[in-house]
Amino acid sequence: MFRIRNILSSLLCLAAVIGYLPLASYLGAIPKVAIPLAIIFAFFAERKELALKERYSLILSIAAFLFYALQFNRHNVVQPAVEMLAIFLAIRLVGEKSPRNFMQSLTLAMFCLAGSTLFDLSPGFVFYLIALLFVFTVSMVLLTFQSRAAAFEPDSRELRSIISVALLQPLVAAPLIIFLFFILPRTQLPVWHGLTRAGADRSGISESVKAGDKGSISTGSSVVFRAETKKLLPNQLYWRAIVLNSIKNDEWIRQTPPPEKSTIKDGKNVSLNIFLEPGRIPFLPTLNRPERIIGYRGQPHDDRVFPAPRLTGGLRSYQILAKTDATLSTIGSFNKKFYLQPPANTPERLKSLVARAVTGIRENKQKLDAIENIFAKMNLSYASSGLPTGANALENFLFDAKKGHCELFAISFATALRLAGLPSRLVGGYYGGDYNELAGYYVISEEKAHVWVEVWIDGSGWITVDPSRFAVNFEESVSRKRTDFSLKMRLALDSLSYYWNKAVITYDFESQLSAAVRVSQGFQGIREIRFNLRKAAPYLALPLLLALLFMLLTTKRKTPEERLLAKFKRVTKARYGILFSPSSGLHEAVAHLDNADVREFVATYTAAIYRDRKLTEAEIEQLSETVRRIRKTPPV
Amino acid sequence: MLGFMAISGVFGLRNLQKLRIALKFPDEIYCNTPSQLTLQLCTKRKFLPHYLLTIAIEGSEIMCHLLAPKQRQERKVTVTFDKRGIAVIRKAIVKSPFPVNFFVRSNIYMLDESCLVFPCPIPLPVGWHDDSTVDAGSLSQRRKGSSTETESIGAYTEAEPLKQIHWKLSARHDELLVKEMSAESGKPVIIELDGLPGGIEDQLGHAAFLINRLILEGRATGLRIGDKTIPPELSRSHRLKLLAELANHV
Repeated sequence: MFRIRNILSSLLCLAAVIGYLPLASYLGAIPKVAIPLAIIFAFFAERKELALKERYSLILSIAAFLFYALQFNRHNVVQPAVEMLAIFLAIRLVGEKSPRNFMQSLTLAMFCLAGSTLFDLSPGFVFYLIALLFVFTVSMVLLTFQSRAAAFEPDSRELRSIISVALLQPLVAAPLIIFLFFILPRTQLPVWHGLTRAGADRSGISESVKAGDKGSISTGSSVVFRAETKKLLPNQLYWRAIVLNSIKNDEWIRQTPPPEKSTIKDGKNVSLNIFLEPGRIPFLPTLNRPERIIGYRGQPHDDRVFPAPRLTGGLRSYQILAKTDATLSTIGSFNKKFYLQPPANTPERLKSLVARAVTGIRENKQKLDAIENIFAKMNLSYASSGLPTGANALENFLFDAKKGHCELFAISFATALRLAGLPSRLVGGYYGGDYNELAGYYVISEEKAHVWVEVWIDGSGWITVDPSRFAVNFEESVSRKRTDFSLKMRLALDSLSYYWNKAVITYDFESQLSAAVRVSQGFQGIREIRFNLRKAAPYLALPLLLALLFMLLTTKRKTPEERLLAKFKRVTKARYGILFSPSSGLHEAVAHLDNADVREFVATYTAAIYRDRKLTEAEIEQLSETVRRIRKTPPV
Repeated sequence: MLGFMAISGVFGLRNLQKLRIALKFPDEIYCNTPSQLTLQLCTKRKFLPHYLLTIAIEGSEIMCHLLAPKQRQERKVTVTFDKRGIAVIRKAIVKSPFPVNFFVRSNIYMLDESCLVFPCPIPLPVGWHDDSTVDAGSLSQRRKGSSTETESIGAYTEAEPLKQIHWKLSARHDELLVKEMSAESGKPVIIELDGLPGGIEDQLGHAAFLINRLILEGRATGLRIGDKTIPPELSRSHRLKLLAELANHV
């Protein structure tokens, strides 16, 4: 015999663990420690029937509410709310366990899990959700027994039966849950993105760069976005996000560019879908060079930069039409002087080096070649740490340390170009990405953040130059192609995040609408298909066979007595219009009928059946003959 | 959550379906006296059991925690009928909060089971004695040792003295059984309904009391009711026949 109350207590601890785990890393110290302690207390105290009295629980809950309510403000909503839920859960776990309290505790565990999605809505959430759903359902069913039949102590067979039927519910509900997820009306913006998200401001790219302002660069592996497209060549993987076109206090910043009617020529068309990870991204990443973003509601800038809509969360996936290996030129003239101002702290040695190299050269293209030559001969190398810092960082990088990261390469190269009188600008974005062969998309993480240069050459337009390529170790350090096993595993796991992002996170009202349109178009298409039985037969045969088998197995086979009775009823109804109701007996139904055959049948049949014996073969034969006579004899 | 709630609703609904409910009545049911009916419960389901069923019959409720497929359960339910004659129990209401204790769903099963309710036995007023109510003999006090030989075994109806209960046999059955004694002696009597005191319902109650008392004392008893006379006999079936006559009296 089992005590339902004990089982419920253990299940409650399990539910609390499931609710707590995904949330733990985002909680402050108090709730982070309080819940595990409360779970341990609840687990062991139940056997000794120890619990915090209801009135103390109430006082603690009010104190927790006041404490967290004071921390609420417009910019800090999520953290206090979630921590308050966690503390409430801890208080309930150590408190008395009435059926109502059990119910509240389970709901709080569910809320804690839901609260974790305000910080991170990763596919891992699904596993916790499924686990909690099963624990929740079993607990709810047991709680029903506890509330309605507290004295009931099931044996192992009964307990197994109760738990099985409880587990069956989420299993049966799963298809319906998925169906409802896709059809229920959704908000136009996913609700999560409207809330402040802790730690979601990272994107790896900066809105300004300055030589020597950091000693090392980001190597974070957090995914920034995924790009669904065919596999591209490594030198085509420049993901364009921002153009830094002006210098202010030696810092490269972005100002509204001078008007230019830009156009993209040549190159190969590429269409790709971008799925952004949650986080604030001021400019939408695109593939160099982007023609347009389908459905983009903002105003693209003339230098092919696409500011993210005001609510960054409003656009989590979009389709880009781009051209790789294309030239970006301008129709008509534009203000080239805007792109010619060099930084004030340009090293004298660089100035003289550039001056020497371009003396006597008139053609812009030749000037570019000359500067590229300078960098190629400098024997620079790429590094992500131990970078030169301070006011002389550029000089230090070029002439002493000779090692730096993409920002230093780009700043020094663009500076050199401007010194040579070539309009130039920095382009910030990402370079490279790991291609997931399994699902056909690139994963671009923070560490892929990159800066390169665009230079204006008359007659050619804006040409992309990646100065980091002048590093002697460029291949190994920047465009290294990893093929190790861990990367493959990581990409395989990332497929989950990708599909999760694609199917759940970015599934909004628009996706729903387009899915509905596709389905309705699909139905229209069906009408146009001419049904060809011969072709369809193999596809229909198996389900039909299975259905037939199922019917044969599940349909109760009739006994000879049942068949005989059914025949008798059919014939009597046809001949004399007698209706047999399930509640009335045979005698009653035929009482008013003066027919010897009918009476004979009823007498013989009931004599056997009411004595709970089967009809003999002779009786079946005789009764069949009687039924035949009834059928043949017209009513008088 | 919506999906889960919908499915739990279906489970709750199905939990109340495909039940078979039948009632078994005791041989003797008296008006205004609690009677124990036997409720038989089984299911047509093949796989899933039924859980947490409460079955309400004529205001009395019994609970069944779990009814497995192919299992048959019998429960006693106490019902008091307030009128003599044929009583019909039309329905049983099956309720359950399963699977989650948010709502209690119910389902009605039509039973249309009928039974005959005898008039409630009313003892005669103390000291009342009138020979005109009896024929072919007179009322006498119960005689010691009036019967010693067991004639048959029958169900306990609460009318028999406790000493008549066959304890050994009862222990092997679910219900109490009594030894029905053969009559040794006693003059046959006929109860005249019209001669009994009080209104018609009181007369019927007194007659029921007398029939039970006299037959148990071992005296052959008959009944004159209106123009109809039932000759005296001494058997359990005769006693039930007389009580049925009283129950059906218009």
